[in-house]
Amino acid sequence: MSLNLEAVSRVQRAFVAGLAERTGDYAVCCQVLDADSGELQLGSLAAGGLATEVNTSTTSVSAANMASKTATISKQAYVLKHTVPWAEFNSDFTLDQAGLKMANASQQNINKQFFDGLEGLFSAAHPAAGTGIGEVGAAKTFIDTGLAYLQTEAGAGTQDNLLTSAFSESALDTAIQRLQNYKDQRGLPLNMGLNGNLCLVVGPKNRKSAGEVVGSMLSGADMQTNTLRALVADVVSFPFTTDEDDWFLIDRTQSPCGIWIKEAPTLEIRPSDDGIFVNIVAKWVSAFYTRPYEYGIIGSNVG
Amino acid sequence: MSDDKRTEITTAPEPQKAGVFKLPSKSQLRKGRSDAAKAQQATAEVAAGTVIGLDTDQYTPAIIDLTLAPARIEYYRRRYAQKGYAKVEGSPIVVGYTAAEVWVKLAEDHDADRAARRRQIEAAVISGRMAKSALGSRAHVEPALPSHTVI
Repeated sequence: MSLNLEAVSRVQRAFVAGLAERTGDYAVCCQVLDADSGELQLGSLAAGGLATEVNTSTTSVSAANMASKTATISKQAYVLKHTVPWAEFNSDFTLDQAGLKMANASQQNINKQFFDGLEGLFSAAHPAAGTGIGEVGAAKTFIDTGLAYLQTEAGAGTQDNLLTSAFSESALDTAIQRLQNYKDQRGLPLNMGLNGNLCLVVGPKNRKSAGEVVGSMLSGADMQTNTLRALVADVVSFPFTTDEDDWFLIDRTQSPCGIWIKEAPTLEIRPSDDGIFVNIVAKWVSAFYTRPYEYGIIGSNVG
Repeated sequence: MSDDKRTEITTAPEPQKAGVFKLPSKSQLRKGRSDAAKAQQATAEVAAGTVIGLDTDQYTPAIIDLTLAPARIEYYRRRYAQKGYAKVEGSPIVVGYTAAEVWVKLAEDHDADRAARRRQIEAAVISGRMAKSALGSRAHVEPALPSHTVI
């Protein structure tokens, strides 16, 4: 079969089928944004907090600080390219496989973009790091201890979204408690994690254990009801690059980090100028994003 | 409910008879209600996962749940030792755990190791083993609006 319209169409069909066959794991862990802009700007306003009661003896009410933060994410363009002699690109098997493998590779690259980003959160600077109002403290990372709220104001405190625990049922319950107790920048408890939309991300070493902890009907040696089943909707396992013991609990409703797909993967098949070679190119534009605040993620790293 | 569980319930001990208790004295009870005691209670409030009594300014803990399978406990012991932690002797209490083993390293060493991991990630990004996303994203911060009083 020569490189004719039918051959191109066959590769394209296999590519689309490949994309549809296996939704990227990243899509299970976060909100996937699809804004078509040069940069992605994610704003967050630290407003609200605990309300002041007004009654007959009230003469004034102090206004509270309000701070806004914008995380700016730059787009990143990616390609996968193969150049093969046209005479080798002629069997049904090759055409089908070319489309399918390019689809899988595109998805897996975006997966890696997400999970590498996740792994980097233990050491990546927090978008709101600083010592001012509405900031979380100097030199803080996105997943850290001692993250400040109400900094420089009455009611100031710190909280941790970093655990240093081996994965276990108790450790997971600890993470859920942290999410429930987590306060926003104005000191208001967020009570996150109870809407059944949590996603647990673990490395291969913890995959079996995580599935058992979340999926079992009963919990612990005393065989009580497993309350975690109703809270954790999905367990996702991915081979981390730098520490296989890391694990994360993400509230997908908040989605403090995720993937921005500006241009979804597409595949182009074109002959070279001299017609001797065939160029097969998959390309897409995507980026890992973090919101200005870390609400909605707990990470464990024994580093 | 399993047969074992049923047996456990039916063989539960009878409640103790009145007068057998050793109650705290009234002065002890009043002392427990003092402001000083309440203040101490407030600082003793601890989040899940906290190692009771550990000075986290000095030491960073690493926790192993002892209800895990023995092979996994052993795996984590080896991993923690490999990462430079040392086991805390005794029976430290970890909030939220039935039984836990605590390992520690100096907080300054933990910070240094975190910085080393950052360098490891940077090297992995340069060599192409990790995506650029591992380095984080830029952020622009707008100034806070000042506080004022409304009458």
